[in-house]
Amino acid sequence: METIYSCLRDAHDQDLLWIAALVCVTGVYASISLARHASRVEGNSRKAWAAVAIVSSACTAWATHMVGLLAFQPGMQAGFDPLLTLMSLLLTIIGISASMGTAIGSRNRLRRAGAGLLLGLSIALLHYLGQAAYLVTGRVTWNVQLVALSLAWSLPLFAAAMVLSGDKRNSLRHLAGPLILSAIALLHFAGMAALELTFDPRISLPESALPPDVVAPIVAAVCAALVVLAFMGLRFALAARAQAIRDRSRLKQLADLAVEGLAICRDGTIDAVNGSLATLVGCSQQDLKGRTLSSLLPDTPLSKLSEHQEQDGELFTNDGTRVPVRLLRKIVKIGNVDQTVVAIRDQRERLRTEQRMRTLAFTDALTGLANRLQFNQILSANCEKANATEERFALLLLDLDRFKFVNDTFGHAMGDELLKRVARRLSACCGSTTSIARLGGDEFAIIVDEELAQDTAETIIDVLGRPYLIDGSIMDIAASVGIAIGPADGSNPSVLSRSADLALYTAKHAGGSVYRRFEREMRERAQARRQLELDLRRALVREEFEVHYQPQVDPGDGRFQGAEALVRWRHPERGMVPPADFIPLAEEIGLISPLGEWVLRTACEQATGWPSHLTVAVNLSPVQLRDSALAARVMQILQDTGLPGSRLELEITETALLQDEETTYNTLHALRAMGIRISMDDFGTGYSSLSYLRRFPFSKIKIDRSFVRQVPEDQESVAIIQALTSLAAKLNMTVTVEGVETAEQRAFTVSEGCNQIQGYLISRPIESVSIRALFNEPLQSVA
Amino acid sequence: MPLYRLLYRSEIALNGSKDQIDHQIDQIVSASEQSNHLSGLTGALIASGGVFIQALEGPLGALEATFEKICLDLRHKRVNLIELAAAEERIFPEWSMIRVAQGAQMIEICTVVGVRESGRLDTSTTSALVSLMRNILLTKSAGSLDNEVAAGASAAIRLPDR
Repeated sequence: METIYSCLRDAHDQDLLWIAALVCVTGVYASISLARHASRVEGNSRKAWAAVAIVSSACTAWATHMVGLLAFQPGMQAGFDPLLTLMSLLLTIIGISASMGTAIGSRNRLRRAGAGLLLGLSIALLHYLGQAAYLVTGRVTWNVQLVALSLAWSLPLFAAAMVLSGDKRNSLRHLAGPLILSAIALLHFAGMAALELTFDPRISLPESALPPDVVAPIVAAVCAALVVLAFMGLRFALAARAQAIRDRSRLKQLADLAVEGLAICRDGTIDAVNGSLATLVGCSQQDLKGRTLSSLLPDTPLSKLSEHQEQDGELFTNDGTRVPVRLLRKIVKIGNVDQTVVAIRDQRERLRTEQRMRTLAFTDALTGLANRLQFNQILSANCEKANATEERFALLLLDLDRFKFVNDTFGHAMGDELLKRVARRLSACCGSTTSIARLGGDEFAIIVDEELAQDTAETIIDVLGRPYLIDGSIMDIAASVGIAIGPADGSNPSVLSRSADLALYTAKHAGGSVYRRFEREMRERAQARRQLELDLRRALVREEFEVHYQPQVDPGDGRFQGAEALVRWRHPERGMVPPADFIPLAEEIGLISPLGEWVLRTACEQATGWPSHLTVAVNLSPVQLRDSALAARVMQILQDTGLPGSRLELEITETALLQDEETTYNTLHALRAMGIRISMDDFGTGYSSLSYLRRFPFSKIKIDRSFVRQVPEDQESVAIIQALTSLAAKLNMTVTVEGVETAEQRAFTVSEGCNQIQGYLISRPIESVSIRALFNEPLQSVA
Repeated sequence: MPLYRLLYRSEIALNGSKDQIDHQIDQIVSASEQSNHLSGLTGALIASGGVFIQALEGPLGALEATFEKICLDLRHKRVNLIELAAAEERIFPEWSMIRVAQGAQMIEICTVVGVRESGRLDTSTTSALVSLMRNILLTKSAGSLDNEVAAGASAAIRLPDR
């Protein structure tokens, strides 16, 4: 070592040594900066810049070495062998290229160590070839031991430096440069010290040897080139830095634009956040820097965050509120460094929207009560619970009486307001835990404890029946309630609902404003009714209907005038079904029109078999009368059967006239024009509006049987019949008295001048065959 | 603003001893006095023989809103609207709400309203009825009985012979 030191101190030109050092540093910087530039650019220029970097690094080594040699003052004449000098440069370029080629892109330590050895060897070659090219006028002896020592020390240093330069850790990577420098210095100065020159005037420099005066400018030129390269490298580096700063600020702007909160973390500590996250947490971006991520997301450790799937978490903001968030972790390369980016998305708005959607889906928009969908769920849950625990509960279905009337009369806006008020009153009737729903229209449902069912129903009927004052109008509606108990009246929602519905139906039929509990008989009745309905629908096709006739006679002389046709149903199992049992049902299910038409046709047909002065009277239902094609249909029947219109009498009730007067008016006049007589049936029982008698073309009034029953004892009945008879006479109408059962009653009708009687006194309704026989008897009188 | 008067009858559905019920009714009156004061209503309440008879007067909107509140109340049953009609002037301008104390004429009023348990009464009858209510209030507060006025009013509300 002493030799090395003394060699440095004594045998060198100190100034040149400093220049050598400067050249080395400049060259190294140029090489590194150009290499970095090469790594930034792409395509062919990348390779070109990489080559420039390698050449510049080789030149650096060579120039440093040459300046070092020039600084050497051996105390004798010196020169350079041009071939060896050139070769030393070329070999160095090849060696460094090979070394870099081996090391580039590889993290394998062994490979990098190999590359380091290659680098060391090429630099060692440069040295010793260079030294071999150094010619002096003297003898050259080598201290082999020192050469070996220089190699033994420097080569591992090169290997280590290459390994370190490929390390992930910045601090270790920074050690690589000084390590290489020291290895080079070691190689150089140990090499110089190993060289022992002894002046020998007998030895002269060969002809070809280049004197230092010639070499020095060449070396200087190379050095200058290196300086130029260094400046280029510096420019590239500055440009790259400016670009990086621009990129970063653009990235930051982009990040701040993002709606999601973003945090860049290193080892759980926040490095940077975007504006959204700062706003979300409620502090500045600067304040968040350096805080741990767990202070924001205490329940979600970073390690638990998935890189592929978003997950839910809670963000703790500065004011202590917990914000529901969605979290995603991503490893992102920022610059050359891998960093963890956590994306934090505020879920409050989405959750609010979802809540709103759910509310909309499950609530009745008008009243704010639960809707059918939600109620079905509640009912199912109650049924399941009841089945599991035997705990009973009551299902109340309710329906507003007269609501349709209000809606039609006052308009839908008023109807809606009324429904809202009904909803509020219902809520006031029930405890807060009770489930109330609007199932649609004016239908509501309530679930209460079984023991509260009847009280609740009573309260509801009372409270909903109270008047509603809306915009100066008084509205009176009422509620009917059907109660079914789960699970006794139905263990699943549909059966239970049907039971409650049957109870409600019964309550409504009882006149409304009442509640009914479900009873088994209701189901049976409903079933019976359904069965009857089915039978009734088939009865027409199966020809189970018959027309019976009740004769009508002149009360004075007892002569037949005609007969009233009455429909009868001969049920295959139940026998004769009374009209009161099936006519209302037929009206309800829309069967009355075809049935009425059938009766009319049959009666007309059969009447043609009677003596030609006898009439047949047929009842028309309100539904038939509403049909504007009725007149045409009757005409068709008359044509088909050949019965003259003058022998047909159509009986209508007052209620039939209430609806659609215009159509009725036209129809009745058209029928009158065909010679058909129209009689007002059951007069005296309904409104008995005298204006109808004036407005419509009636030719006959039939006085209801209820008035005849009490004559001649009851003075009021007598007075009514007398009044009606005289009224009819004044209006040019005839009068028929129905239900005449006694001889006194008949005598009374005779004395009052009634034109026709009908009743059990004459005959009950009889089959068509019998009436035909009766009418065709030689003596046409029952008197 | 047009003035309206509303008269209804209902059955008291309060629980407790006579004193307790009386106390509750006083509370109802004072609560309704406060809320009526805010909505510009005036009126009087009779609570006698298990029946409430209340007269309310004021603008239609406030009247309807208050009556809806009354209809939401479960402290009475079978609320029956006797009259809702336009009125020329307030009969009870002095009182947002006041309870008409027990007295002989009250039986009369209750009889009239009680007989007609359902259905509305004609305006002349109800006018006489509220006038009688006012007279009772005035005579009680004046401390002297104006017999003539009371007798006249009670004669007016007597139902026609049937």
